[in-house]
Amino acid sequence: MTPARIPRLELEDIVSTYQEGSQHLTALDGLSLTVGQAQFVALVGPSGSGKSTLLDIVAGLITQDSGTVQLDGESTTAKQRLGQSAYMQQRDLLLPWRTTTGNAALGLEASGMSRSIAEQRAAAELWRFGLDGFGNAYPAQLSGGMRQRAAFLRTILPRKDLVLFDEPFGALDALTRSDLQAWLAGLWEQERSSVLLVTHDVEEAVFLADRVIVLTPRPGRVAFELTVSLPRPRTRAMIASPEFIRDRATLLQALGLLGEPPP
Amino acid sequence: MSPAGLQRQAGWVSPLLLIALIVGVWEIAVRLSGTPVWLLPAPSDVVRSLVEDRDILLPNALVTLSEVLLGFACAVIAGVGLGVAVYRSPTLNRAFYPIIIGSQTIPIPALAPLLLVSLGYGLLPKVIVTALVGFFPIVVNTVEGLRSTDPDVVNLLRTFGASRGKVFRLAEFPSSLPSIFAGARIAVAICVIGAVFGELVGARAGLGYLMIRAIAQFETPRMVAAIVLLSVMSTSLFASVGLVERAVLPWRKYSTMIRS
Repeated sequence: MTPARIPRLELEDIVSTYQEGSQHLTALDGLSLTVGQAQFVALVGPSGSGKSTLLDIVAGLITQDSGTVQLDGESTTAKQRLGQSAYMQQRDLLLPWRTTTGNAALGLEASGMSRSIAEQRAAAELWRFGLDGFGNAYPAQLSGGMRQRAAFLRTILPRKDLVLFDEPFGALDALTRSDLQAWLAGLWEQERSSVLLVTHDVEEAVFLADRVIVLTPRPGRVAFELTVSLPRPRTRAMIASPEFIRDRATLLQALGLLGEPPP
Repeated sequence: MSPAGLQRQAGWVSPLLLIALIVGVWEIAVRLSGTPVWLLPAPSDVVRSLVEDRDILLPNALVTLSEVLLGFACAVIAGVGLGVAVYRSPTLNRAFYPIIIGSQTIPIPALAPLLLVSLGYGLLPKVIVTALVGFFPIVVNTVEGLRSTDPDVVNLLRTFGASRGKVFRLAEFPSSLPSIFAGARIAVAICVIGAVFGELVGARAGLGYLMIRAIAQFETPRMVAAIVLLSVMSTSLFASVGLVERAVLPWRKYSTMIRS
């Protein structure tokens, strides 16, 4: 076991640039942050603040120009990080030729498990993800909310202890989104993995996370950090609590979306 | 019947009616004008030949069918194999892809006499011509299909720790299958043309051989009967590939377009 004080993920001075046409743009400029063991961290920031670039770096898809990425206190290269986390994007990326069970099993299969065992494991958890009875349905037969839950199951099933979410509710309608947020809060309280969630929704960040980190506009850097004052387990009713409203106002302020506070 | 059922039926009925109309006009025109049967047989003459000459027609049709099936099988194996190799290896891509495309500027039927000279009158030269004709749409569609893989899906699998081979097996190859089947449907239809061309150049059996003999003997109804059999063969093979596709890709009936 890793001692609790060594963070699951530690980013230090990450600089990342990319080429767009003839322009040389900086996505992240000296970004540092940590995600503790079994901690849920949300990352909010204006569009173009390099949030997705950050997740790509942590997942091992791209290499940063400079700075270090440590997992459990060990410095890692991008290649070493592949397979270390579970990464879920805004698009559900379900394979149209696989059933719900087959899609959910994909992460396990990719990391080397046989298809039949992976599908058994997936089938056993369908009910927890509200997909009971839809195991043999193809993605085209599912609603948007169900497709996203299938993508959640695919992400959670390999039980990686670092989970990266990139606006996982972004493509959903407001009602489905609010439903799934409450469901994810409950799921996380059972799973307790380390989570880094990228979102543009301040309420979602406060409702789900232990800590919320605000990024500056491009180039991205940490502008502000907040420890959420809501207790766990989280319930839907908490969004009306004074703590929730205060935390939300603080974050909106940090994002420059509220005016100066009244004297 | 449901509206969808009616529409489905209408899809079959209108071409059948059109064919019936053309056949009817043809029959009447030939009868009224008194055209000699060796010049243009009436549809009834062709039907009579189909029945009376069945002992000649069927064995020859089987010869052509076996040439088509063997050639098509070779085209699928070589086309998919080379398509995959070209997609996965940049070196092979540079070496082979221009040659594959360039090979299409050679009129393949023109190779038939050459093959006849070197390989004789048997089955092999026809199978080779058939395979060469069917190969191109399959290899091109295989490469295009593999290239259509969603790059985000590839990245997703990589973040789960999938090897290059796993990514191919789980995402790239399945992504390419609809495109490969589309290529195979075109290929199987033109394979029939390839086989007949091989036979026209020089053969001892097959519907192409039968057509040349029938013309030489002024047995025009038999020649038209052979053409009818060829088009039935072509259509059935096309439909069979569609049936195999439905069995192999059952999900396609839920979404005709690839959704992410």
